[in-house]
Amino acid sequence: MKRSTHDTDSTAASHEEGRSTWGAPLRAWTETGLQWAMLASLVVFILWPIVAVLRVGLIADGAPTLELIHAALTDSRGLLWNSVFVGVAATALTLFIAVNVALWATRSGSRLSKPLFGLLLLTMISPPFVTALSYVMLFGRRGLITHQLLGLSLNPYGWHGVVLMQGIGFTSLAAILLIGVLRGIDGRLEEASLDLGASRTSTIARVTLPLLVPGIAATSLITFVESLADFGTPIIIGGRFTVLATQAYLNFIGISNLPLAAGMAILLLVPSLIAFLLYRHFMGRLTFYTKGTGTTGEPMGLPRWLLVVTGTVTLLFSAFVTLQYVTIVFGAFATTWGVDFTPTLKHIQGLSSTAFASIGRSIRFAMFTAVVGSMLGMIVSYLLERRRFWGRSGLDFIATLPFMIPGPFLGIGYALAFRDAPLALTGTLAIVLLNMIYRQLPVATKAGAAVLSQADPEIEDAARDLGASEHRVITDVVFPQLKPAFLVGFVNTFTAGMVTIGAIIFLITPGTKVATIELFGAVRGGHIGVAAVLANIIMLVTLAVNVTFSWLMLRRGREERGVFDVPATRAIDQVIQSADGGR
Amino acid sequence: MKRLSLLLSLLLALSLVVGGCANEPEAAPVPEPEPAPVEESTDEEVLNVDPALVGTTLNVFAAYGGKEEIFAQFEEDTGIKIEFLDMSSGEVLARMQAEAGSPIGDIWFGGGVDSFIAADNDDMLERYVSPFAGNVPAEYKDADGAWTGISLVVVSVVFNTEVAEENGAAIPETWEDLTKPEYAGELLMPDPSISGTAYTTLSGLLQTFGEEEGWELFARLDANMPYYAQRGGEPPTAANMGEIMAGIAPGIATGAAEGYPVVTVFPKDGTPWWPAPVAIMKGAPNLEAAKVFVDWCLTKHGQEVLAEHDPRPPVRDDVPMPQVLIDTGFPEADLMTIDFVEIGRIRSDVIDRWQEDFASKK
Amino acid sequence: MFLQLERLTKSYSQRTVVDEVTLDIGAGEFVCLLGPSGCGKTTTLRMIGGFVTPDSGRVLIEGADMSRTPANVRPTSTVFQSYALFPHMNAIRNVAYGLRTQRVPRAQAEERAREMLAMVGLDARAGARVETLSGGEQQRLALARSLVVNPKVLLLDEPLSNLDAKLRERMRREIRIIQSRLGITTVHVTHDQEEALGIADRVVVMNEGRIEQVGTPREVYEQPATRFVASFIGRGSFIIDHDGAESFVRPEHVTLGRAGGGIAGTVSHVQFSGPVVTYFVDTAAGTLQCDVPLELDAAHEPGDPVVCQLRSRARLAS
Repeated sequence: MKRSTHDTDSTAASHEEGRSTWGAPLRAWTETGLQWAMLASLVVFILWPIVAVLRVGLIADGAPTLELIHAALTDSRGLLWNSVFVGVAATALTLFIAVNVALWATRSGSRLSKPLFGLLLLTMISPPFVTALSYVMLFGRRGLITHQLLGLSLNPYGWHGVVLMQGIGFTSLAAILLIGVLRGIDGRLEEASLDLGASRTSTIARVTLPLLVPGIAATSLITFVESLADFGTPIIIGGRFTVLATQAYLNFIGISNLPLAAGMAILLLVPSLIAFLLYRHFMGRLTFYTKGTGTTGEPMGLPRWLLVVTGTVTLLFSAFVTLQYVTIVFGAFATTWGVDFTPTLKHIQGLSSTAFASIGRSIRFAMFTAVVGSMLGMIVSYLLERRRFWGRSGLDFIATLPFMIPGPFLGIGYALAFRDAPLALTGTLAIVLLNMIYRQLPVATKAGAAVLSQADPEIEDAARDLGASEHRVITDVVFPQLKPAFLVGFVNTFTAGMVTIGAIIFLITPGTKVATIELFGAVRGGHIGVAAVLANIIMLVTLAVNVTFSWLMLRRGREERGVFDVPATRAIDQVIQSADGGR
Repeated sequence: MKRLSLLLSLLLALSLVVGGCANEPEAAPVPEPEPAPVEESTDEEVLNVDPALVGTTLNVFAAYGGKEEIFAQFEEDTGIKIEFLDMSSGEVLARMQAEAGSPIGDIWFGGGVDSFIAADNDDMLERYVSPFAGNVPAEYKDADGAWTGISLVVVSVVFNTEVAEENGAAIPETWEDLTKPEYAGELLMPDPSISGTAYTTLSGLLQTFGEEEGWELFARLDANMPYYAQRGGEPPTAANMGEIMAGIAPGIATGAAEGYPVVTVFPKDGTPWWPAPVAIMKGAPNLEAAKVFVDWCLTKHGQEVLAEHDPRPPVRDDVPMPQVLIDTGFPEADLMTIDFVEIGRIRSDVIDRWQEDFASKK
Repeated sequence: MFLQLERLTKSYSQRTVVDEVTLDIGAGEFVCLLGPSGCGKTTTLRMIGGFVTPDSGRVLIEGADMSRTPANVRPTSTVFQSYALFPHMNAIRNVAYGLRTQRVPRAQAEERAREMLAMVGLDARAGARVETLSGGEQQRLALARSLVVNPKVLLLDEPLSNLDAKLRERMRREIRIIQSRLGITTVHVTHDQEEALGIADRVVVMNEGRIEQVGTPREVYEQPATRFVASFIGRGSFIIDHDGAESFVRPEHVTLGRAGGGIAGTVSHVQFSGPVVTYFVDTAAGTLQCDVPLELDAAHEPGDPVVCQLRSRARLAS
């Protein structure tokens, strides 16, 4: 036994001699190659499409012009103002609800916190048009509640509906992020405050909420940008009220006024960028406070009055979203919504084979892009966090861009950028998949970066020290540690792949039709029953895959409850932090 | 890919047999029919398909009712498969323009003729005069074969009787009726700059009533509209759901069959319409199969299939009008006389004026 | 010489962190790099381990130049300050890892890992997850992981800094015992002079990237070569002689009396610390520290005039 191990050692030693000559240059070469390949792929699939849109929107007849921007800006409907107004109002509403829900979920000590968290996770999966559709089904002039129950005939179309539905629609994600931040706050800080004689109320006001500020700022920004980019809700329930995103979409899709659409898309970037810069300016020095090691104490209970307030808001919110989703479920089984509520299976049975093909395609595409996109994100995050090389901050910046670029912008960009040789991808499956991958890259990358920035780089040195090649360092040590980040990237990209429509609607062809497009068609054609069936299938499939995948990845891991919290929250913070040009 | 050498045989294979059709001016010479899967058909026309095309897949952009059933029947008849994407014609046009010449598919099936004319002006359509096109009247097709009408889209007002009852309003019969105060805030029409339905309606009114009278009538209609919808499909859906009393729609009130309390109104003082075309996209990867599809749509059998699954007036007069159209009173409707080339020419002027006077309402 | 450092130099953005460090270490020797944080000792260690490439200079092991050899093929092994244990592997898999990278079959690797775990007294925790181990156990695990691959040079990067005082002392002994038993050449980095003096055969005192002095613990303690070494290691007082030269006196080398020959001064402060009582005496040559064993203490009070006799002193180079 002893002898044979010695043999092994000497063999290894003789290998060492050989490798020491060739290993280092070869390794350096491969790495440089990888860095350049990553940089090139990000330039081609993120930067180039953006440039393509800017070119159309800012250059007319070969000369730079602001004419289109001006046309978009001076539109009599005040599009920019409407967008900003809805963005601010929806963000305020989202934050109000989300802070209440998050406080209640983490500090009430109620047993209902767990089901609440489940509800939030479920409602994060929101197929397009579904909230708007359920709004009309419930509160429209012939809505189930307003008309059937209350006998009212209200006109629900206008900015109120848009703000309300966006505000509620974005709350689930915001609340989950804030819950993550609240859970990360060291309970001893609150204990210290109580110990120093502060009441619970003033502890909440002076300790808890200030610690929550970075989380609030980050979620505000996400909500604001999402609201700016949302064209589906205004188009369905905006009535005469319209916003930039909607008009950009309609100008492209409806009127085929491509330059004006590009001009509007560019204009849409302005408030988004301002929001990012403001965030960077005011939040630059703040960091997320995460738990130290050791005992962190029990979270403090809420003062009675706050328990009542947060409990009420949480109850109303939960009731509302539950009602919304129940409506969609019932909608799938009602013969004709609003007229004949007799239960039926006809919408399900009537689902065509093409609809099933589209659902299958959605699952395959989303699965593929989630795996590939998350891997890519992990590789990029590894390069960013562990390597110093020329172009690194550029890589970081470009990898973050899709996060602040509205979906339609990137969709139009792909359509424009990849129509000519040598990258003529028009009408191919590749263009759809590439768009899905690169659009969601920031979250995977930043989740990976968040994990790696917290992981001890000496662990990788230790593996090298013990004889692991760079390749083995990555497979044996880096990747296992990145598992939670990979999971965040997978869940995010998969979910997005299942529910988004904003960008790929500009790229799909009959052969690449996915479920959301079927859903869009059903909504457009007024087939509420079919739309509801599709929405349910999309939600169920997304939920099932996410849960199964998480279970598979975590079942043997040491990660416990809350595995998403820190990576997800920090990922988003990092996305924002590095938004204007890398760290 | 293995179709490379088949060009010649395709010409033969695409042969057709025209018999007993006296008014067929372009009856092609009849080559030997191939022993190919032959559809079950009326005995007048036989569509022969090159066996090499069986199993190929056509990519179709479609704006048509009942397309799944229609395409399933086509597959059964010809063995050529279809993948389709539901897209309004404006969207298809936008996509084609954005892709600037790279083919996005094979076939463009149904939608507003204005978009087809615009696409042809940009040279984005393949010219193909189907041997069956002779059955289609000249005003329903492009003389050079860029597009060929397969059915007529007739604009109607989808009217919710339940809402009307609640508001004590009567069923309107004319455009003039719709300007009455009882329909205030209850008439919905799409944005004419987006929707072909709305633009055809507006320009049809101008051609029918004369320019100034037309605008004046439209202004009074506009007074009853709460806003302009941003999708062509929204007004009939809103009328079905009772969100609005009257919605201007391409086609009849199909919601009635689903149980919605709606009826179809064809305004007696002029019903706008247009031919819904089929066209082959320039550079279509499956050109020969695409030609088979166009041919099929224009056969008597194909026309019957179309009419069965989407109740529109067929373009061939030897195909019967769908019963549901007769029931809704279509035969009594007074179709407007519309010069499509002309309304295509003046489109930007009309839209500009509309933008100026009415768009802020959106 | 077994391990040679030849004029090793490393700069980061114009700041020279390690400046022409030259050092010869014999086979089986236990050498401590000692110095305050930022003195370049860890960078030197990382250059030996292959984690940092020197700007100039060479690292030779048994005469072979290793300067450009990557860490994974260098016959060195490091115990990191953070231990850098693989969080996703249990104890035995951590130890077996280095063997597995050398393609030792799993069963054999685990067998040897188990032996090594037994050697550090962790055999009972072989299946434990890393984060369930105590600080001392993690430290021993890290040591076992490094030793199992039979490195030619063992590198210890502040391995004891995360442990509490008692445990640190115990681990210091254990490490030295294991090192002696295996006869493995060891370089140990620490900022704790007591640890360095207590464990090393030779101590290398570093400051601002340069070596200040190399010697046995006794040499650096009793004959500090520079003012820096004197002040960094142990306690003591600098005094100016009549000729203006500076010398250094350890507190235990000063005898305190009420009268007689010596340097006269006044007690300014008294500090009790168990076995000795420390007096601070203001004199014309400077303030002198003087340790008086408890049993010999005459209980001087602040303000008392005293006379200090110096039994030994070190002349400083500069």
